[in-house]
This record gives sequence, structure tokens and C-alpha cells, in this order.
Amino acid sequence: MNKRKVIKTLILSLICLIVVAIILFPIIWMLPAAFKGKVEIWALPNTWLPKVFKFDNFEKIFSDNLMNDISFVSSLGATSLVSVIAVVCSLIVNMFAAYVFANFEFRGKNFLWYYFLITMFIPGITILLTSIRVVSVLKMTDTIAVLIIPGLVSAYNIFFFRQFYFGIPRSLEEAAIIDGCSRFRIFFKVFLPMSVTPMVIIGVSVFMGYWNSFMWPTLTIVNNSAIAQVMQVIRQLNSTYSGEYGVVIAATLISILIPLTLFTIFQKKIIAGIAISGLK
Amino acid sequence: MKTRSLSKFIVPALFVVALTAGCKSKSKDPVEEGATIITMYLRNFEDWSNEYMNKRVKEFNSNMEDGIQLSVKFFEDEAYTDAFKVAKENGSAPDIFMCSYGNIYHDVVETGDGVPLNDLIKQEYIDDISDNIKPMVTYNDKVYGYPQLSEPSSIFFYRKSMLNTAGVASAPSTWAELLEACSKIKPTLKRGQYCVGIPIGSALSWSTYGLQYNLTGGLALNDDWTQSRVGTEEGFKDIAGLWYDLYGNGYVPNGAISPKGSYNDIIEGMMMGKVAMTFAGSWSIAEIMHTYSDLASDVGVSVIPTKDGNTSKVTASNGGWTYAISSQSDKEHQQKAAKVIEWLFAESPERTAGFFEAAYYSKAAVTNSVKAYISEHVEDNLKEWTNVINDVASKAIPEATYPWSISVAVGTIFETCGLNADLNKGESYKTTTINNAIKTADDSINAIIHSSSWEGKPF
Amino acid sequence: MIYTEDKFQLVDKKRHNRYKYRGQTTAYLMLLPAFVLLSIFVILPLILAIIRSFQDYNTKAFVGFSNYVYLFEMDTLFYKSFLTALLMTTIISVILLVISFGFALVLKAMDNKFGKLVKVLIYVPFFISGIIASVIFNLIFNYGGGLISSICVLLDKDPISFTNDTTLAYISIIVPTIWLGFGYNTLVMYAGLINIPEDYYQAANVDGANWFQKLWFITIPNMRNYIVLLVINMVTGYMQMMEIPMMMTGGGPLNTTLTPVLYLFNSFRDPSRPDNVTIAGAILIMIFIMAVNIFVFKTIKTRRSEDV
Repeated sequence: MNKRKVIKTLILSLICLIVVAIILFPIIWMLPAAFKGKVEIWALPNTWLPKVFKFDNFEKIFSDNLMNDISFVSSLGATSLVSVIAVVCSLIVNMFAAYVFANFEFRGKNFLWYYFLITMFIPGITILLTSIRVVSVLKMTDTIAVLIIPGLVSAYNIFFFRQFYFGIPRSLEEAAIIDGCSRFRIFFKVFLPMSVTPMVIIGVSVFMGYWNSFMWPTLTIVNNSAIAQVMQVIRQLNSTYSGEYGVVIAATLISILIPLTLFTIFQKKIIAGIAISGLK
Repeated sequence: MKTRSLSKFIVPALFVVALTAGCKSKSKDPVEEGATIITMYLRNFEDWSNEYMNKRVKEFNSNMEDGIQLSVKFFEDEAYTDAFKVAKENGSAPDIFMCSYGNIYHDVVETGDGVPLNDLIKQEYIDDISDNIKPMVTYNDKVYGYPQLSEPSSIFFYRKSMLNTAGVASAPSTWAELLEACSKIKPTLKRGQYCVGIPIGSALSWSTYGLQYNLTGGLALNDDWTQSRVGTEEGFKDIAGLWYDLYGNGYVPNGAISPKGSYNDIIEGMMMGKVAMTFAGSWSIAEIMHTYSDLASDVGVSVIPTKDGNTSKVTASNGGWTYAISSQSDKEHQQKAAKVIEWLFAESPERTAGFFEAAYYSKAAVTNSVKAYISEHVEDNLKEWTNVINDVASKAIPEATYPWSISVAVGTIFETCGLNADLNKGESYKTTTINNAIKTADDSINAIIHSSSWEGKPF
Repeated sequence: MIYTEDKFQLVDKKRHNRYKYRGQTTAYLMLLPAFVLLSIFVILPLILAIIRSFQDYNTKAFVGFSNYVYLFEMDTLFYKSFLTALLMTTIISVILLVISFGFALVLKAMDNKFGKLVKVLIYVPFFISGIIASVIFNLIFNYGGGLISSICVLLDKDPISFTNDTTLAYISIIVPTIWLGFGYNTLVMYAGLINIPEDYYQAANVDGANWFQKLWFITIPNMRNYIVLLVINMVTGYMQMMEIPMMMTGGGPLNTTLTPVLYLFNSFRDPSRPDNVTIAGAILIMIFIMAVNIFVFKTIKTRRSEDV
């Protein structure tokens, strides 16, 4: 019996090892390529490790003459700034809405709920062109606002928080009301402290959404390369430096560093969060 | 616990680094007080070309008395299209934008994005435009784009050493010779090396305009744009047949050999030793001289191989770029934009010639004064190559002005025949493949004509 | 997902009435930011898009359905790209469902520290965008110097071009997409698995059911909602695939891997194409995605009520 269990564990571990190896392989294969020069990177047959590790690509990434007036470093800064502001704003706005839908009765609630929900199924491409029109009428093009504001509200995130608030016992709220708290304060005193886990889950996913966004910044940040976003810059590097591909790889490596660090810190909550989001 | 506190430190640190780095300001050009800002969109070309333009812009801006501050933005191909489209939607289109000869009608005249330059640019400079270029930029007697350069889109390049190794004595001038040369070269190659590079992909059909004209005396549409010529002219079948043979024998690479994967930089594949010969645009010479100058003596240049080898016929189309002025700009901006164009490309032959020098004369000048200046002042030490280019350029036809989708349909014929090539299936399969591809293209071109709003050629 | 669980029904009637409409002003105030933003940046553009899809691009005159008709009659590419996306979505979804379900079973059996680490590691690609994934996989699939071509050369074979053959081009899109989605799908499946009460299995053991019977009669039926959730996510996501096809194949060869969103993105860039046709196409995609979602929701809803 025991022996069988050991063998079973061994086989399962082996499967796990193989799967993990397959998943991590592309990243591992990519790492040394950031240190390859122009000829080596597209040599045929190619090798995993470069003959000599060169740091030219990283130097190029951080230099001033990377690509016209675009600087990779400033795009990292701009994207971080945009993502952080967006996370904070998006949490506030979406949690307010979720709190209202979960705990209030008011006229037009049903209509508003469906009004919000329907936006979950509108693909970005459908409203892409007209959104550009709207933000340009609002004179938002090429500003940091156009990167942050249009994507803040997410029906999905409201839905997620609402489901979570349903799980908070009403007695807590009632007790607070008896204590004379306004419902606005109840949100901060009761609901906010209890929603750290969903805040982390949604916060990270909002961050990732902003960090990885490509099409929207490409079409709205046209004449202000100081706030060009990372993915936009990498896409352009990809065509400008298709020969010296090591430069693109180096930028790629740096650009996944911040999301991966976030993931490492919050991994427990994120993994637990998948279980919650699956429940819906 | 330990890792936790460590990571608590790392993230803020990363952000701080990223944010502070983002704030680092870059050195700017001197700014002229109270000057009108003229915006200009440029396309990102080879490094040397971008550097040249940057240098000129700096020079222009260093003049503090002209009341004009030039603000230039470079864009990659696709980014250019996005940026222009969005700027137009915002009502802030650049004062000066670029357009290739073939697209002037559709992108500048028809859309109304550009204004006629006749009232803006001095007449003497307009008169200066060479006779072969003038019709390419003129519609309804008005000039819509001021030309900068012209370059033949198909020339033949080869590596002398690789041909020698295979015992090929001279560059092929007919298709038969090309196939024969390939059959000799193929056994001498390593894995991953191929005999000849050709444009791949339906979107590259513009690089075969020369061949199309060579064989059929025209392009995909008849003179008044009422009928497709693809189904009736045998020449299209001939080109498709060549593509079929080259692919079928494995003489051409199956995918892109240059890192960018486009015909524009196909020469890099040859310089990296991935092909022995290649079709390429004349601009490749500049790339060779700037990046692979140590190998330059190994490179040979000739007219592309044609079916009959008659070099007195058309073998290439003349491509190139012009500068248009936006209709969204107000009168003052338009006038000042015209000043900028004059300064860059017309006013001083010496200044303009600098560009051609940086290009190793791989591009042809487009104004009489610059041509005269170059032939007078410059000693060309790449005579062997530039002679070929000048010869080809002098016979070259303008690029097609019909919609892009028609070009793509023609390119699809060649791509389909290449992809489906299989010599084991015999001659009849080859004939059916080619005929089917031709028929599909012919149908779709006729469909485009019927659905179009034009009735006959619109200009 | 879409039905509302009215909590107040659980509370008795009197209290219900007492609380009803309490703090309405606060409610409206707190909802205001989300409502305004949503109206300006989603609903308004949608209304504009619908209007423009019925207009002529140049004259702004209403032309009925002619933009839509154009898509199907003149522009066979749109229709073709739609079928391509359907095919790709089906292939990717089926593969992902099968392998992530299988691996979730493995993970459930691996109830130890190593298992926990594995869960974290397979989730890493979830943090990578389509653009980055394409950059990474370009090093593997590239014709001129990628890993696969290198192996071919070492084995004395010709390099493989993933952009010049329809099947291979599909593979070069499907593999990165699966790589990106595998971790998330597996962990959702895993969450579903551990939520199945253990006594179901114990009861089955008493009845002498074998492993396969337990899988078929207990595990899969209890996973239904999770699978439905994943299918909805995948259909919505993969029908809108754009970044990976754009970067890996550019839609080629001969437009066989062109997806509708990439097609629309390209035609948005093509100055000779009327935008309003592009918008009409985008609206058709929206209708398709909504139809799939409504169909699936209706199905679970009725099933739910049957269960009760």
C-alpha cells in the first residue's frame, strides 16, 4: 500500500516536472538571447548561450538614441505611473458601484444593473474608432488621462466585488447603522477593511490590464512619446530592431520584471482568488 | 517572512527607479521664441537616412530668424498610418506628410488630405522637377507632392564568391539562365542557404511591377481602368510559372531570410550569406555600403533576369517619396510648411545633393538642378553599380496608381503558385494551379472594378 | 452569472420594507462616477458606432444595411476571417479544456508543497501579454534562426517556415495562445475540483465505482459551471484574437490566419477603405459574442432551476 503510494507520488511529480518545464521553457530559452549580438541572435543553427555575454543590448535600451525620440526608460516610468493611478481609481469607482448594487435598494436599480452588465459583452474593437472620436472631442488625446480614464470602470470587476459583498453578513451593517453610522461611512468602516483579498485580486488584474495594453495607447498616444506605453514601445522596437533582436529581448525581460515581482508578492492571494472567481 | 520583507522593499524601489528615470528630460533643440511650429511626419528608414534628416532638421531650426520651428516625428510603417489617421481624426494632421508616388492620387488628392502646392511653392522650384517625375506628382495640372527621390524597385544583386564556387561565370540575364545558375549553386550550399531571394507575400506585388510591364506592356488594369488584364495577358502566367519553378525546385527560401522579413531589407539576407543572389531595390546599395562595406567588393549588381534577356525593355518601376501639405492646416501654416519643403529639397542643389551622397547615389535625384549639380561636382566611385541603376531608372515606369487591393490580388497569384508548387505532380498540375490562381485574381480584380465608384480612370 | 440574487427575499417582509429605498441619495452619489465614465466611454461610443454603421462614410447619409451587405458580398475576407477565428477558437478551447482538466486532476492528487509550487509556476505566463509572448515565441518559430529551424539544420533537414504553410501558421498561433492560457484554466479547474464534496466520492466507493465511473458520474457533472465559465471566457477572448496573429504571421499565408479583429485593425489602417464598413464588421462580432453568452447563460439558468 505504502509502496504504491510512493510510486503514485513519483509519477505525479514527474508529470508536474515535465509540465512546468514545458511552461517555463520559452522564457528560459529567451533569457540568454538578451546578451547576443546582431549576428549571433539569428545564426543558423542557433545556440542557447551566446559565445560571449554582451551587455550592449541593455546599454542600448537605456541609452538616449534608442529610437527617434522614444525612450524605453521613460515608457517604463509612464506605464508604471498610469497603472498605479489606474489601480487606485478603478478600485474606488468599481467598489463604490459594487457596494451600491449589493446593499442598496433604489429606483432604477434593475435598469442600471443591466446597463452596467451589458458593457461586459462589448468588444473593444466595436467601439475603438468611435472612442477615439470621443476622446479627441474631449481633447484627451496624447495626455495621460486618455490612458487612464476610459478603461477605469469594468462591469466584470463590479460584478466580482458585488458577489463578495453578498458574502458579508448583513448583521454587521445593521449594527453599524444602529451605531449611527452613515451608509457612506459603513463602506469605509466595515466593507473596505474586509475586502483586502478581492482588492488585491482585482488590483493586480487591473494593473496587468494597463501594463499590457497595446492597441489603445498605440492609437491615442501619437504625438507625445514621453508617455508612450511599454507594449507600444516594444512593438515598435520589434520592427526597428528586428535585426538586433537582442535589444527587443532585453526590453521584454525588463518589461516582465515588474508584473512578475507583483505576482511573487501576492501569489498566495492571487491563486486563492482564482478559486473565488471560479465560484460565480 | 524574510522574502516578504525583501519584496516589500523591491517593488517600491522598482517604481521609484522607473518613475525618476521617466522624468529625466532629454536635451532639446534650441527653440525660437514666438515661432510658428510646423509639424512633419517622417517614415523611419535606414539609420543613415534618419540621421541625415535629423541633421538637416537641426540645421533648419538653428536659424532663429525664419519664424519657423520645425517639429519632426519619425514613425515605423504601421505606426505612421495609425498616427496619421488618428491625427486626422483629431483635426491635428501634420502640416507636412509623406506620400509615395503610387499613392498620391488615393491618399492626397481623392481624400482631400493634401492641398495643391502650386500656390505655395515657388514656380521655379516646381518647374525644376524632372520631366519623368512630373506626371507622377501632377493631377489636374496641380502638383500635390514635392518629390524627394526616385529609386528603381527591382535590381539584381549577387555574391561573386558564391557564384564562383558554383562555377557560374556571369550573372544570369534570362530566366533560363537563372534556373540553370540555381541548379549549379544549390549543391554548393549549406542547410539554411538558398540560391535566390524573391519578394514573398501578396503585399509585395509592387516589387514586380517592372516584370509585369516587361512581359505584358502594362499592369493589372487596362488604360481606362475598365477591365482587368490579368486573365488575358500571358505575361502574368509566365511570372507565375517562374515563381512555381523557383519554389518547386527549392531554389528560394520558404520564408523571410532577412530579420525584418520584408522585401525592403532582403539584401541583409544576402549579406548574411543566406542567399547567393537576390532581387532587391536600388536602395540596398546604401545598406551594403553603410553596414556591410567590408563585403562590398564581393557584390555584383545587374539588371534583373527577364524572360527574353532583352535589357532595352522596362525592368523596374520607379518608387519614391514626396512631401504633401495638409489641408487641415491654416493658410499661414501651409505657407510656412512650403518654406520648409523648399529649404529641404529645392532651394539649394548643394544641400539636397547631400542626401544622395549619404545614399551612395543608390537613389536618383528628381530635380534638374540637383541632377546637374551631382554630375558636375561629384566623382562617383561606385560607377559600376550606379550605371546599372541609372540605366534601369531611365526606363522604369511609374508605380501603379490603382487601389492597393488590386496590387494585392496580383501578388496573390504569385504567392499561391509559389506555395502550391510541387514538381512531382507534373506539368498538368502546374498549369491548373497557375490557371486557377489567375482566374481567382482576374475575378476579384473585376469585382473591385465593378464595386468601385470610378467610371474609367478617374484622372 | 447574469441573474441577480435578490438578497432581500431572504429577509422577512417587514424588514424588507423598512430598508427599501433607505439612503437612495448616497446610492446615486456612489454610483455616479462609474455611471458617468461608463456612459461616456462605452455606451456613447457604442451608440455612435451603431449610427455610423448605417451611414455612408463620406456623405453621412443613412444607407440602411449597405455597409453590412458590403461585408458579405464584396469583402469575402471578413467572412473568411470569421470562420478562421471560429476554427481557431474551437481548436484552442478543446485542447485547453482537455489538458487543463487533466492537469488539474494531477494537481489535486499532488496535495503537498511541491504541488503548491507547481500551481504558482504554471501561472507565470498569465502575466505576459500577447505582444511579449510573440516576441518570446519568435525565437522558437523564426524561419531564419529560430530554435525549430536550428534543430532541423542540425538534423540535416531544411529549416521549417511557419509563415508559409497554412497548418504550420496555425500552429505558430495556437501554441503561444495555449501557453498563455494554460495556467489560468488549470487553476480554475482545480478550484472546481477541490470544491466537490469528498463524501460524493466516499459514497461512490461504497458502491464500488471505479476511477473512470467516478470521473464521469461525479467529477464532470459537478464541474459544469466551471467549464461553462471557461468556455465563455475562451469564446469571448479568442474570437477577438489580434496581437498574436499580428505578430506571428501577420494573417498570412494568403490570409489563412487572418482573424476578424486583425482584419478590422488592418482595414482601419487602410486609408482606401471606408471606416463605416469596418465598424459594421465590428458590430457583427459583438452580436456574435453576445449571442454566445446569452445562449450559454440561458442554458445554465434553466439547468439550475431543474436542479432545484
